Amino acid sequence: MGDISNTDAWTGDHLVDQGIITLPELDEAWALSRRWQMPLPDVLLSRSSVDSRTLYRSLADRFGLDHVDLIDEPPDLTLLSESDAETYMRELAVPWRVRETAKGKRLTIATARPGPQAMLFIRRRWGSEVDVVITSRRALRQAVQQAFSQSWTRRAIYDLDDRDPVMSARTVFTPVQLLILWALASACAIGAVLAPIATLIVLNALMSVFYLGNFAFKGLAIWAGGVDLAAQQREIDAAIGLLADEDLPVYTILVPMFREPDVLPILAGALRRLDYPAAKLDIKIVLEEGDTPTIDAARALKLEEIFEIILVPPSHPQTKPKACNYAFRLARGEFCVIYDAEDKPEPDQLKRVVAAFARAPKTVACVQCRLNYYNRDENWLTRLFTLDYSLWFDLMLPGLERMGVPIPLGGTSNHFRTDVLRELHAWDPFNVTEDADLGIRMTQKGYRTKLVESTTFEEANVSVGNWIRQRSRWIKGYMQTLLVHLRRPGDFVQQVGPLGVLGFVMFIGGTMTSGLINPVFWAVFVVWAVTQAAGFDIFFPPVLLYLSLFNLLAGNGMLIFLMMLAPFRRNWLELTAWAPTVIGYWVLMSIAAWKGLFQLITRPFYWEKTTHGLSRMTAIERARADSGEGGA
Amino acid sequence: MGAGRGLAIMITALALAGPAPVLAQPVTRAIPLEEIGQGDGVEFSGLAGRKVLHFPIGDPADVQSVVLNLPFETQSAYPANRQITLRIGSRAIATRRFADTESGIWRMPVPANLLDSRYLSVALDYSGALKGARCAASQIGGDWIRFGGGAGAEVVYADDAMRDAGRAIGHAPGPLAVELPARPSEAQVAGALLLAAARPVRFGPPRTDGDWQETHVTFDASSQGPLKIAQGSRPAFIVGRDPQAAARIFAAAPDLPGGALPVAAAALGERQVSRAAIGLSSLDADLAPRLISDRGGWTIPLPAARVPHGRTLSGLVADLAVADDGGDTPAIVTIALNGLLLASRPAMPGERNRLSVSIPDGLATTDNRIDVSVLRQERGGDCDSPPVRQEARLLASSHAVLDKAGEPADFHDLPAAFAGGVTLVLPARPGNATIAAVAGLLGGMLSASTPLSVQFGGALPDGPVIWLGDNPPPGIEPPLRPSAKTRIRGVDGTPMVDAATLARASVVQLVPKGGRPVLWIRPGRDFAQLAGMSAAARLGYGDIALFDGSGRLFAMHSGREKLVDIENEGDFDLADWMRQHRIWLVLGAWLLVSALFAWLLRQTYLSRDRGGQNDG
Repeated sequence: MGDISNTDAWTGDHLVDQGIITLPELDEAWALSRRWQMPLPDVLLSRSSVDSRTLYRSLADRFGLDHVDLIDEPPDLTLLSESDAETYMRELAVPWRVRETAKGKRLTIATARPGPQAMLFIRRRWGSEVDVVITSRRALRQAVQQAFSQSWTRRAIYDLDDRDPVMSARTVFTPVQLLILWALASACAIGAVLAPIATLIVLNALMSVFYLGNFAFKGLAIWAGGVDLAAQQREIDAAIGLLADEDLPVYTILVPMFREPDVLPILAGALRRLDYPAAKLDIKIVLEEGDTPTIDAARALKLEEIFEIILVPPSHPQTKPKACNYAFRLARGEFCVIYDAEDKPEPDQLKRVVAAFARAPKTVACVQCRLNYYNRDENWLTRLFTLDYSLWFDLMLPGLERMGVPIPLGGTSNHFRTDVLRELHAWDPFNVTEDADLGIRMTQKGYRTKLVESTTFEEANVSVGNWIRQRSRWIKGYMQTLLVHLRRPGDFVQQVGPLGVLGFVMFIGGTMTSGLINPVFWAVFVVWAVTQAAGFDIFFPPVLLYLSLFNLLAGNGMLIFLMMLAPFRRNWLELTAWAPTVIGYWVLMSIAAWKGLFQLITRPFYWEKTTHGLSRMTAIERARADSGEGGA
Repeated sequence: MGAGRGLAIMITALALAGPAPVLAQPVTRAIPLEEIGQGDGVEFSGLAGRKVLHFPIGDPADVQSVVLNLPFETQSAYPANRQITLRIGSRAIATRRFADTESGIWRMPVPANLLDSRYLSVALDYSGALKGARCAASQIGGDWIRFGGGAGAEVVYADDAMRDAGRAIGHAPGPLAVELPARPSEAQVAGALLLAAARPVRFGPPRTDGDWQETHVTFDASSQGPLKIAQGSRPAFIVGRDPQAAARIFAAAPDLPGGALPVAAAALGERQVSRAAIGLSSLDADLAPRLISDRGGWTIPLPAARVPHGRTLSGLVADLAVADDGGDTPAIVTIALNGLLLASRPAMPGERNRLSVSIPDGLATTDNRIDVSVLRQERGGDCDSPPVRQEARLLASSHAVLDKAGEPADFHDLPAAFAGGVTLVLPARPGNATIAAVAGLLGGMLSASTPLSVQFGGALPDGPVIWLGDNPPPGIEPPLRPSAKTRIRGVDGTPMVDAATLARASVVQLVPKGGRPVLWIRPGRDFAQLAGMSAAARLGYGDIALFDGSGRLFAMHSGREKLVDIENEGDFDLADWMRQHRIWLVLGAWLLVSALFAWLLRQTYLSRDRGGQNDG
């Protein structure tokens, strides 16, 4: 653990002399500064020991420099270069203006990190014939952001499409894909004219084989995922114990929000409870410029300096990945994670991820944590949603990881190496399941995803309508992802391997396809059961009949059984009895699938916003957060 | 009704008891094997066999002589000593040896002292052995002897045997030649149909050539009493004012004692029937014990007309006793209905072995056949010893179980429904050909005791109805409405009966209305040819049947059939419409899909060209 710098020592003394902080506060801050290996001002700001304006004014006085507020007095845009934006943010120094001085016109540099290092940089970068003023970190970042917002907005939208158009969902269907789909449809039409029975039998057979493959693959994934997670957990626990705060890197947390003022206090509370050096948290609350209620709510909370509010200028598509791309440009951390507004990650999650990354090869670019719900017992829908997530995250994902199948990432708690994320041009703003898409894209570029035993708890949808809106967006996104990544099937196979392709088709394609075709088979079954009509018999020759019966009974039975097993790892045995009602859940999924397909054609980039804060648990959590209580 | 009938019978008896004309000469009647249900003749093989023939000769006191007339053919592949012994009762009356290849006629008079019942039971015992020191098992066979359908008994009756109807009816041939008047009354038509239900009937003048093998019946409404006899070398009967009573008399004739016609319904055989069961011994079957070496049994016909009103066949119970053959392997007893094996079990010797089965839905029909079989592991039959035959008996407790009937669903449910009364509605006074056709079509549906009313035209009566006409009964919506565009096809569209065939055919449909059955008969082009329809072509399964001149074309159940559809004119069947317009539908869908793809392609190019203005 290194000692504090002279600058920090001097700054601390000054603040005490000025009565801005007390001596015990200074001692505490110094101790943290040593432990975290972070500058003293950062520590003080992260703990809200002093507000930003007071600190920087005091520093300006101490150094005998002027203090400027770059928000009120923004820099001269002609002095700024977009290519240096990252440098401005990292070094916290930016050209402000050219002022008339007694020495003539001189360039003035605004810095938010007064001290020898800053001066050294300024001189190297702009020479010695410059003046320096002091500004706050927040103001400097905001000024830089405003200077380049238009360009950053465009890049947030079109970067991926410009640099790697094959990987962008901006083109929903390529001409080749349309031609192939049309050819398939035409072949079916010809078959329907020339040999309708045979054509329908063939289609029936294809769908039945697909179902069989779906069941088999899911069963295989779960079987493969039966790893000893306890051993893995012990390893991570041991690794965490060896981590020192000084070894922990800066961590960027992106929290995109839209029209969610109510859940903001819950989020803030959850992030404060993270077991991580506060000064090393680079938290970005990403809001849309037009979302006044949420912006006002955020400002009203008077969040600490570690919470930075990023306002995304209005543009289309108005999606979460676009907002994240915009904010990601300002990320300072070595690692980056996205949390949703209602998320409650386990406090030691960041450390677990750091330990996991440290033990993993460089090809591991993402660590996916588990998701689950804190309001699981609220109603039937939340219970089924919990079973669904438990099955996916606790049983299937470990199997996919072990089989080397590309993992479609979950919407939150995806932790990335920031440099890799930049290399991949971050998220696709045109894909409404940008997380799933990114997971596949990462695999294609040679990177992998690792799972870590840490859970983020979210609010499960309590309303059927809300759930359908959310799920329709997911399925639409899966459709987009499928269309994007199968544009070059040969390359795709080479990059992810046959097993990866199979997994991709079964999980991404399977989810949407089964949702679309299930109603057809359900209708056939219901009509036959009610009317005993024999008209369907000719479409089910013996082998196909047995296969279909197997799918109906054994396949669905297996899925229900797996649903019943899903909550066992978390010891939520009371949910097991609800598993047989999953059939109703599947009906909702089919509704969502058809809605998603419709939107894929009519509004492919439309982000169907999920309303949060409907759960009564959320209201309880909000009350706790407002009162300053903790608790998950 | 019972008292009225009894009174009618009493009047009949009094009428028939009057003085009768004196006949000039004895009357000779031939009873062919065909008349006693052996239309295919009798055949033996395997150097063993026994068959008992029961000839209904009537009152033996009226019989002057009986000669058995047995044309035969025989062959044996291996030289063998073969013979047949004729027995009347337990007494052998003749034995004849047969050459390895021979044909001829074996005529054997029956001693008069052996004529002691209304039925002459003649047993033919066939036996033999291979010649020489040849050692061969009896299963080799290679031998047969056959007595054709023309074989039978020639019976000569005394002069006065045909003096009155009461005596004559027991002696007259079973088959009837019924001649209706030119304008028969409703009662006479009913009587004629009931006669057809009671006996084999041919409508028309009697045959005058050959032996006397059919009884001539005419109608005279002015005649007193139900039945009287007419003079002639071949006595004929005249049905009087109560044709239905006459039909019942003819039905019971073989069992009537000689002399006056019975005055009580019970003597006519209309005994109180059990509503819970029908004893197999009450059916027209030979249930004598069998000597069985490997396989044998009993075949018992159970016509649906024997089922009482409001009841239905629900099960069978066969009680058997099987003698112990000393072997380790027990015999197996089986019971089958209409060819379908229903149950089997090992038979314990010396015990009553019971086979009790439920009759599956759809198995019973109009002419049911119960087969009770005994199968044994044959012992002997090799060079050292002949086959060991052991006795098996079908006990008198064997019966068919009856249950409460629901609404008639198939044609074979109708006899029980009609047993409580039925009205036949004819569009107009029918001719002989029409009555004959109706009689042929309704074979098995009626019995002599069915309370049948006939109506020429008029409204739809209450109760069960048989409606003959080109149009359905008023207020009835049949499942099949024959028209120029009606047809029957498989669910896959395969035509099964086209509209032209349907238009030509005679169509019979069972249409329940308000819980009572209505049988609509729409006569077709060859309706008259249904007069001689065989029993195999009778109405049985289903509620729709088609007939042409050759017999039954097609039968189905409009509710149960899953693979057959009826397409009536005016019906709209979505699946069929889609099938007919498939090409246009597919073309339309393809155009829509193509338009969609074209639009998507346009959107793709537009979004690239406009550089993002459409993004969102």
